[in-house]
Amino acid sequence: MLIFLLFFPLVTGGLVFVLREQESRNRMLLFTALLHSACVFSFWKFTPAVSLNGFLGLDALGLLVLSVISILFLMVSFYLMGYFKGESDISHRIFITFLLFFLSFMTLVTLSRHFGLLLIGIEATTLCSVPLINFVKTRQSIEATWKFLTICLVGIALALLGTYFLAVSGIDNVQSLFIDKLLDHAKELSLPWLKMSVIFLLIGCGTKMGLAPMHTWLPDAHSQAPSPVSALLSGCLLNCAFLSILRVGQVCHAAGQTQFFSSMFILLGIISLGVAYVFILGQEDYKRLFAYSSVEHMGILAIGIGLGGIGIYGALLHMINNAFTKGIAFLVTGNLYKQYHSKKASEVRGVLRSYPITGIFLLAAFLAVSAVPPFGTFISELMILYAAVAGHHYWVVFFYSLFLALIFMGIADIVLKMTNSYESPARGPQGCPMNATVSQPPKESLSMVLPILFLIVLVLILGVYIPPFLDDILQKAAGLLGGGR
Amino acid sequence: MNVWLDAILILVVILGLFIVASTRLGTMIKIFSWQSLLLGCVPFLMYAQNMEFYIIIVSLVAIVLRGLIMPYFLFWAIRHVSIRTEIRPFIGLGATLLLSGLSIVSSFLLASKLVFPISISSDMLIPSSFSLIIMGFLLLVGRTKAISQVVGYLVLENGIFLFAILLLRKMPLLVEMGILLDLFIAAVVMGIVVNHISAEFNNTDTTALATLKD
Repeated sequence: MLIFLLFFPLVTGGLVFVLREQESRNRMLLFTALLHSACVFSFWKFTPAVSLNGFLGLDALGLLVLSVISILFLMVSFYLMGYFKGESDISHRIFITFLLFFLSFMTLVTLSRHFGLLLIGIEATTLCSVPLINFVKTRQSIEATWKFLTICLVGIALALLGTYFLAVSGIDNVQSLFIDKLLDHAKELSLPWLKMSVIFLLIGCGTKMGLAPMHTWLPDAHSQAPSPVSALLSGCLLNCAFLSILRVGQVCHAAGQTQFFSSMFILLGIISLGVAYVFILGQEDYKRLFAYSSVEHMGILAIGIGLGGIGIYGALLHMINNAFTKGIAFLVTGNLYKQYHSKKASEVRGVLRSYPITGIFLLAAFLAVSAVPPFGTFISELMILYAAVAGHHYWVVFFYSLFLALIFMGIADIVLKMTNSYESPARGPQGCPMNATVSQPPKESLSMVLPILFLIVLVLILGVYIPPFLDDILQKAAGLLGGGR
Repeated sequence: MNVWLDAILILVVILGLFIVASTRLGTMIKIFSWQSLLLGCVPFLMYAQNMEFYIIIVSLVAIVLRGLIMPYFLFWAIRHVSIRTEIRPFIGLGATLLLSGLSIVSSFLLASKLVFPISISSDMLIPSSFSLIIMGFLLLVGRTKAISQVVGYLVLENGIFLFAILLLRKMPLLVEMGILLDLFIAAVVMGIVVNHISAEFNNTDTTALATLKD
C-alpha cells in the first residue's frame, strides 16, 4: 500500500509528460490528488504495514504531515484548474509532471524510516521544485531559482554530513541508520559524534525549513514562484523539512539529550521571529510579506518543540494550522496577482470594493496568519505560550509575545491598506491609473474560490473544536517526542 | 599500504589547494576530475585486505560519475556559455589560499579532538575530508561565476564522500548509490540553471543576480 502511494504519482507524472492535451493533463493531476488523499484517509482507519524491508513505514508524526500534504495538494490542484485558464500560451506539461513528482517525493519523506532515505527524499523534493519555481522564466525567477538551488543544496550537503556523523556515533553497536534501531539503542550512541550530527542536521534541515539565519532563499523563492507553488512550498515542503528535524529530535530524546536539542531550537526560533519582524515591517511586496510570515511561523514551531511538554502538542497542531493558513494566504495572493498584475502592495487598493470575495478572503488570510481568535492558529500559539509560562522560560515569553504583537501590527498596516483604502493610489508603472481595473467586471472563477473557502472553514473548525481522532493522533505524535497534554 | 593511502590523501588535499588557487575554469575542472579519480581509488586501498563486491561497485560508480561524466558535463557547460576565467572573485586568491591553509590546520586540530569510535586505517582521512569541505565552502562564497560555484559545491561533496568511505562497510548499498545518483542529478540541474542564467543575462556572473533583496 505504501509502495503504491509512493509510485502512483510518479507513474501519473510520467503519463502527464506524454499526454498531448492540456485538458487531460489537468484531469490526470486532479485524479492523482484525489486518489492520493483517499489513500491517506484510509490510513487513519487502517494502519498500513511496514514495507520495503522496513525502509517505509508510517507512524503518528508521518501520518500527520502526510495528511496535511495530501489535503493541501488536493486543494492546490483544484485551484490550478482555474489558475491555468487564460494562461494557455505556456506549456504546462513539465510543470504538472514535476508537480506530481514533487508529491511523490514529499510522500517519501513522510514515509521513510531510514535517515539515508529521508535525505534522498529531501534532496529530490528540492530538485523537483526547481522547474516549479522557475515556471515563468523571467530574470527574477531565475535569480530566485539559483539562490534556492545553491543554498538548499549546501544545506542538504551539511545534513548529509550530519547523517554520516550519526552513523559514526553508532558505528560499534547500532550499525544502521534505521530510525527504529537508532531509537532502541539511543543510549549507546557516542555522545560527541551525536552532538556534532545534531548540529549539522539542524543547520542543514533548518536551511530547508527556513529558520532564520539560513532563511535567505525563502522570500525570493516564494515571491517568484507561481502562487499555487508558493502555497505548496510553504505548506508542504517546509513541513517535510520540519519532520526531518523532528526525527533527529526523536533520537535526541531517546538518547537523553533533549536539553541540548531544545536550547538550540529555541534560539533559532527566536532569531526567526526577530528577522521576520524586521522584514515584514513596511514590506513592499505582498507575497514576500507572507513569505516572511512563513519564517515567523517556522520560528514558532521551533520554539514550541524546544519548550517541550504541551509545547510539542501545540507545535504539531500549529503545523497543521499553519500549513492550511499559508495555503489560504498564497492562493489569495494568486487571485490578487491575476486581478491586479502586480506584486506591489502599494498598487493594490480597495480590494473589498472591487473584488468582494477576494477581499474577504484576504482579510481572513490576514486574521488567520496573525492568529486572531476564531482561527485555529490562535489556539496553537496560545498552547505554546502556555508551555513557555509553565516552564518558567520568561525570556521566551517576553520575546515571543513582543514579536507576535509587532508582527501583527506590521501585517495589519499593509493588508488593511490593501483591502480598505479607497484613495486612488499613485500611478502604475506604465502611467495608467491602477483603479482602471475597478471598472472591469469582477472575474472570480469558482475553482479559484472554493479551495480557499474550504481551507478557511477547516482552520475555523480547528479553532473551536479538535476532533477526538485528531487529538488522539496528536497525543501519540507528541508522545514520540516526549511531550503531550 | 598505509603509506600509499596517506600519500593519496595528501595529494587530494594539495589538488584542492590547486583548485582554490586557480582562476581558469578549465583548469579548475581538470584538477577536480583528477581529485575525484584519486578519491575513487581510496576505498580500494583502505579495504584492500577484505574487499567486497559492493565496495568495488560504489568506487567504480564514483570514479565514473565524478571523475569522468561530471567534468565532461562541466566542460560542455563552459563551452556553451563561453566563459574561461574567473575575473574578480569576492575573496582574492591570496586570501583564499591563506584561509585554505588555516582550514587544513584547524581540520587537523578538530579531528584530533574527536575520537573515532573504531580504529581506522589512516589518521589523515578525517582531517583531509574536513579541509576539502571547508575549501569547497570558500569556493562557493568567494567566487562570482556560477560555474566556479558549482565546482565549489562538487569539492564540498568530494569531502563528504571521503568521510563516507569510512562508513562504506556499515551502510547499505542502496543508500550509498542513491546519494551518489542524487548528487549527479543535482549537478546536472545546476548546469541547466547555469545555462538559463547565461541565456537571460548574457553571462554567468552571479553578481548580476542581485535584484531580489529587501
